[in-house]
Amino acid sequence: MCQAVRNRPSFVPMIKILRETHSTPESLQQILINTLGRNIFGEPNFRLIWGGSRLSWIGGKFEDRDDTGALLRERIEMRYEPKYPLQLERWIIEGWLAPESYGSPWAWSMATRCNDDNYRLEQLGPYPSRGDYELSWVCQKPDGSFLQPTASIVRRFCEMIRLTRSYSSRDRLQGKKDAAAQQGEDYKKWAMDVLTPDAAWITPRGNVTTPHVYPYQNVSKTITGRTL
Amino acid sequence: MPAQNGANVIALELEKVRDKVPLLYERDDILLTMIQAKTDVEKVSSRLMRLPLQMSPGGKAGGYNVDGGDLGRGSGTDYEPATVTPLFFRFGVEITKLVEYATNSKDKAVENAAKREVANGMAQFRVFLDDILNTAGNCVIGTISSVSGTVLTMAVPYGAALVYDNQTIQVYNAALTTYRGSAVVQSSDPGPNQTITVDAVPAGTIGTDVIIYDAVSGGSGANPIGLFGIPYHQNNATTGTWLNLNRATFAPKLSTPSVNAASSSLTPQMVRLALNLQKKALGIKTQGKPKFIAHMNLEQSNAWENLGILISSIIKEGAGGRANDLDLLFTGNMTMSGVPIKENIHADQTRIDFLDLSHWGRAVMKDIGFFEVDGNTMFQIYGASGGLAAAWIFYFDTGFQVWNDSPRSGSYVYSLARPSGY
Repeated sequence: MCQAVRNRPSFVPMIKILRETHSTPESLQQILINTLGRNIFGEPNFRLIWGGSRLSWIGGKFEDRDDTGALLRERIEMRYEPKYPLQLERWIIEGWLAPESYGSPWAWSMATRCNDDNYRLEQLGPYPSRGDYELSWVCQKPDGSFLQPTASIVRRFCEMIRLTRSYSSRDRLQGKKDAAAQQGEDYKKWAMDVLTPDAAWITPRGNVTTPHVYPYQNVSKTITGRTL
Repeated sequence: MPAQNGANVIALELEKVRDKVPLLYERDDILLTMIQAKTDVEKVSSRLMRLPLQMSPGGKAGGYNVDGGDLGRGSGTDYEPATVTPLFFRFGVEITKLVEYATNSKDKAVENAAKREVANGMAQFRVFLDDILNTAGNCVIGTISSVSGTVLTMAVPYGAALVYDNQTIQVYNAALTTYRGSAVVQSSDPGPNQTITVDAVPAGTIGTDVIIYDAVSGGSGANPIGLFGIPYHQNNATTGTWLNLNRATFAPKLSTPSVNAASSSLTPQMVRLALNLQKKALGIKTQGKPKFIAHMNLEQSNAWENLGILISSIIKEGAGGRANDLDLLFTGNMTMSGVPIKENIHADQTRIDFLDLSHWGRAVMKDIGFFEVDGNTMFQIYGASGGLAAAWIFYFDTGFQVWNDSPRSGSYVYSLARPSGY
């Protein structure tokens, strides 16, 4: 057997998967329509969509780089790219915003047009005259892992949206301020527990321990049970 | 043998809690502790720490005449060193003998007084450090818009948000060249009024003057240097210096992509534009990293909620009887176009900063801990007569600086209007 044949890899990949796409289950979409209604164009006010299937226009000068970060080329063009790169493999519920949420067509053009010496592009594509959908909620577990949406989850989401709409903007802002103040008090209580030698301390994962025996280098994982 | 007094007991107790001070600090619920200390730079000395940045690729590409032609010269990758020097911060806590006596319980009375002050002191120190992380490296924590008696009305951004009661502040002119004097904050109102009441306004203080934190106690030099916060690293300027590199020389590599809201309210396209600018600068895939966050004050997250498509982060449960696992899915963090939101009451009220925390770090010369001299962490206060005063003092201190090795990895929206009524 010649050297070339011996050195040839046994498997040469012919297909490279760039992005996974899925179709929305009709039954779940119907729950959103029945509960939260349709917009003036007859489209759903809220829709369930796979993150990898959601694309949007991005325009301007792109710098294409290889895996090491080295610059390969610069291109000036419009690209249809995933809108939510952090949620490519998650089901997402998007909410419809009316065209006026984006201002007037003139304001859109002024805000999004890139007037470089070498090119002029509307970096977000054409004005959304029929409105557009923006991310409302990501279907995932509290630890960020994948969660398959079910009818119960979608119904609960609808209830939460209705509940949210019953609060005024001022109520929500006051709630945030109260939560920030409570966070400070919670920290002080936690700090007092740390400084108390015999305190029984229950971590978010349900372990009972004495706080001060943990090396502080591991404190972020131990205390919060999460990493960024 | 002299009788044991409270002084001995307090010193012992603080020795006991010494190893817990870093524990109290390194809890990642404030932005500064989310910016991880890099272990390979914790032994930074007083010399400048270098961050090598790859500024431009090397190599010369092109065609050539193979029939004896000249292939021309080549080139190599250009690296430039950004430099940082740690700054030191302290937090002093005084305890009087009255506090000690007043907390006398069945046992460990002295420990309770010291323990409570350690906990309260660390909480306030974290607030202070989080405040200055939102400054532009010049120590400025607010801009005065008008003076009336001992009341300073502050301009937004910041307003009175970065100031707390009993804090010592210093007043400079707008150019940070003329020192007016120092004052102690009696009360602050970061609400609609945005006012600060001080014990005495330094002579010559006018509107447009700025206030800084007590950068160097007793110091009054021009152009004080402070912690390199978010506005320092996330800056669209193409002039000036950044980590001792000339922005003009390497423009636009050292400039952060930005969107000017021009004093208008937040709209979805501003957010999309800011995120897309970052995608174009460094590639679509760079945003798919788990440490990407949107940092903003409550006003802007409220403005985003007001679009009406988000579940409020503050949900008051209505109907009961729901499964706990379902509720867990709907409590917790909001996102802004998919990017997790980090709300911060100390953030610039007119900005939204998209930060890739994987490019941020802290160069630490001294980990947070007690200031000690020959093993002593508690120090006696002396009275005006030269005799002892009935009080003790201890300090937390730390030496570090914040750096970002890729200003273009983030983006921000600035000059946003605040929702009405706030």
